[in-house]
Amino acid sequence: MRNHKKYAPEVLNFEELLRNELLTIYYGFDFSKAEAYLKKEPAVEGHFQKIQEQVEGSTDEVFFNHYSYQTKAIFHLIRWTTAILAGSSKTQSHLQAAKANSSLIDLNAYPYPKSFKSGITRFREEISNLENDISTVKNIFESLAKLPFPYLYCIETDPMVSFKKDRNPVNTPETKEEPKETVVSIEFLVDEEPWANPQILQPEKIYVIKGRIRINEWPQGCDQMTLIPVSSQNQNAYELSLPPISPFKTQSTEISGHVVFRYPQHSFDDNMVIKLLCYFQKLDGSKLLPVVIGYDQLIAKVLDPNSHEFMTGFSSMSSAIAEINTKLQTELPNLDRTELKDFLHLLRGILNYQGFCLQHGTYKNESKVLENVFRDRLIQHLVGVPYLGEQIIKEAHLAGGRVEIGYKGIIAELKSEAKISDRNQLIAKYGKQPVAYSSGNGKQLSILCILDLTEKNSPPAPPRNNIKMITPEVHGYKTEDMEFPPRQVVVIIDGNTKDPSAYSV
Amino acid sequence: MKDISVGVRGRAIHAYGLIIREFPEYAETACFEHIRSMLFDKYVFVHKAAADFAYNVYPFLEKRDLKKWVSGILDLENHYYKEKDVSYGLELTRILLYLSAEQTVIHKNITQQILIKYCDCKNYETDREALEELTNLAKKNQTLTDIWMIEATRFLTRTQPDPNYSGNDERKKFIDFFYTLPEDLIRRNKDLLLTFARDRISRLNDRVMIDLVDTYAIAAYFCLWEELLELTKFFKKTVPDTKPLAFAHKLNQQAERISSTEQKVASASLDHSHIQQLIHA
Repeated sequence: MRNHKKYAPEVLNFEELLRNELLTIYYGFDFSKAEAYLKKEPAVEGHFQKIQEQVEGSTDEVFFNHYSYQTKAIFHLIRWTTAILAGSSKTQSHLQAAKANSSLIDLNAYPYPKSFKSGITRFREEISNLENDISTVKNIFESLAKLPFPYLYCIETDPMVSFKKDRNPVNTPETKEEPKETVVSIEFLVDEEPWANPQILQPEKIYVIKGRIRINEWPQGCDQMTLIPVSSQNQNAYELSLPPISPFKTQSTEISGHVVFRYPQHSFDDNMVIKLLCYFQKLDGSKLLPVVIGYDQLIAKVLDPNSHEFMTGFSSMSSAIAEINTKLQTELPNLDRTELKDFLHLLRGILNYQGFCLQHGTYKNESKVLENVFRDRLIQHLVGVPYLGEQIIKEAHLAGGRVEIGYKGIIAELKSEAKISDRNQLIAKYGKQPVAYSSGNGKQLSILCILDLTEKNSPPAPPRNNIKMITPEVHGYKTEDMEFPPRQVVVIIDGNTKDPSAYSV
Repeated sequence: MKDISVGVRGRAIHAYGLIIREFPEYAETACFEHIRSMLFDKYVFVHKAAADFAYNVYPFLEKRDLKKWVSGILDLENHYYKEKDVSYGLELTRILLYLSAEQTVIHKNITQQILIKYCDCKNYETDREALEELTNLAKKNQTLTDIWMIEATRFLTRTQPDPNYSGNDERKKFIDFFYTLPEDLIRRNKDLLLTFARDRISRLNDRVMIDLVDTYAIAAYFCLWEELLELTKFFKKTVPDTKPLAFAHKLNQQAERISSTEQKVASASLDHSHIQQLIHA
C-alpha cells in the first residue's frame, strides 16, 4: 500500500515559528545586531528538532534536512561577519562551514517548486562566491527576505504505520519472564543396569546404587535436594538410602547409595516397583517439587535362589535353575508366565535326574543305551517327582513326529550319543529337533537332554557346565529380529563313566 | 470457433489465446482474422472473448492489422458506451490504449476522446478507475497533465472524501499526484484549484474539511500565496464563525498569517510593522 500525504498541524506550527524567526533576521539585516541574531539559533534548532521528530522516516524528511543546512549556513555566515568585525582569527572556519552547509542542499533530492529552486540556487552561488567582502552578506539576506518559502502542510506517511507499530517487537509490551520450572534428570543403575529395565535381585544382599543427577537450574533459596523412595510395597520389605544432595554448579553430579531387600517375593510373577520422589528444601522449611525425568523408577523381582520353585535337590542345579529363570525373565519379557512356570518344573525334574545319575553312577560303564531305554528310565524318575507325576506324557505325537517326553505342552527331547563328545557339536546336531516340536506346540521354550555315552578319558566336568541355555536357529529370522525368540536348555548327562580310580595314571 | 454453440465459440477463443501465448508457433493469421470478425458477433459472450483476445494477438499483429483491431474495438466501445455499460466500455478503452501504446497519435486521441468521457460518466467506480488510468498515463506523459488536472479537479469536486476511511481515501492518490506536477502547470490551472477550494468552503463541513486542507497544502507547497490569501479571505466571508467550525477557522487564520507574510515576501513589500507583528506573534 502506497503512502499518502497527511495533514501535520504540529509540523506546520513549527514551520511557521521557524520561518518567522528567520524572516526577522533576513529583513533589514544589520551587522550591529549579529549577536541578537545568533541568540535565536537555539530556538531555531529546537524547532528543527521538533519537526524532525514528526517527519522522521518520511520522504519529506529531506525537505527539512536541506532547510536545516540552509539555516546552519546562515548562522555560520553571521558568525563569520561577527568574527571579521571583531578581528578574530576564526573567520575562515565559519565561512567554510557556511559554504559546506549550503553545498549540502541538494535541489534534486526533493521535488521543489521551480521558482523556489531557482531562488535557492542563487543563494548557494552567492555563498560559494563569498571571499572577504562582508557587504555581500547583506545582499544575500536581502535576497532571502524576498524569496517565498514553501510550507509543508502535509507529510507523507504510511497509512498502516499504527498497525506496523503494533507488530514491531520494540513497541510490544514487555512480557514478564515466566519463572523457570526446575527439571531434575535422574539416571540410576543397579548392577550396571538402568533402573528402568526389569531386574532380578536377591534378598538380603546390599546392592550399590550409582547415579547421575542433572538439574537445569538450581532453584533460588534452596540449600538441599532430597530423594526419597516411594512404593506401594511395604516399606519394611526394603531399605533404600540415598544421601542428600547439596547445591552444585556443574552440569551434573554423581551420587551413590544402596538398596537392600529384606524378603524374597513369594512368586516371581509380579514386579516390585520403587519410585523416587525428589524435592528441594528451602531455607524457610518449605519444599519445592521439581519435575523429575529419567530412570527414576526401580523395577525389580526379588527372588530367593533357595526358593522351592528352584529346588532340584542339588545345590548347583538349583542355582542353575535360578539363573535360567533370571535370564529368561530379562531376555524374554513377553514370555507367557504359565509356560515359564511349567518349563521350570520340567527342567527341575530333569536336573534332579541329572544329579541323581551323576551321584549314583547310573550309566557307569554303559557304552550303549538305547534312546527308549534312556527315555523310560527318565520318565520313571520324573513321574516319581511329586510336582510332575501324572502330567508326564510319553511319546506324544506332535508336528508329525513323536516327542519323547511332554509336560503340559513343554517338551523334552532325549538323545543318546555314543560318538560325539564335543558339546557344541552335540548342540549343533540335536538342537533343532526340539524347537520343531516346541514351535509345533506353540511354545518358545524347549529342553534337549543328551545322554553322553562317549568314552570318558578324562573325568566328567562339574555338572553345572552341562546345563546350557541357547537360542536355536529358526527359519526366516535372525535371532535378534524376533519378537518372541525361542530358548532351549540343553542338559547333558555324562554316562559311560569309569571308576574314579581308573583315571589315576 | 465455428461451432453453433455460443459457449463453445467463446471458450475456443479464450483457449486459443492461451495457446498462442504459451506456444507462439501455433499463431495463424487466418485464425486471427476469423476472431476479429467475431468482434461483431451478436452474442455478448463471443464478442467479449474476441475483444479479450486482443491482448494475446497484439504481439503478432502488423501495423495494418492493428488498426483493424483498434477500429473494431472502437465500434464495440461506442456501442457499450451508448448502452450505458460504462464499466465494460472502460475495459474496452483499456484494450484500445494497450493496442495503441506505440501509435502516439492514436493513443493520445483515445486518451483525450475516449478515456476522458469515462472520467465523468456519472458512475463513481468507473469515474475513479478511468481517472486512475489517466493518472498512470499522465505520470509517463507530461502532455497529459493539463487534461489530468481538469479531470481530477472535476472528479474531486463531484465527490467527497470517505467519512469512514479518510486515512486511505481512494481520492487521496489524486490529491498526492498534484505535488508531483510542474509548478507552471499548477499556476496555469490555478483557477481549477481555486474553484475546487471555493466549492469546499461554500459547503464546508467535517467531511469535506480535509479537501480544503489539501487545497491549502497544495497552494502552500507551490507558493501560491496570493491565491491562498484570497481563499482565506473568501473563507472568512463565507464560513460562519460557529463552534463546530472553530477548527476550520483556526486553520484558516494560520493560512492567512502565513500567506500574507509570504505574499509580502514574494512581492518584496515586507515592512517593519509586519516584522514587529511576527516578533510579537
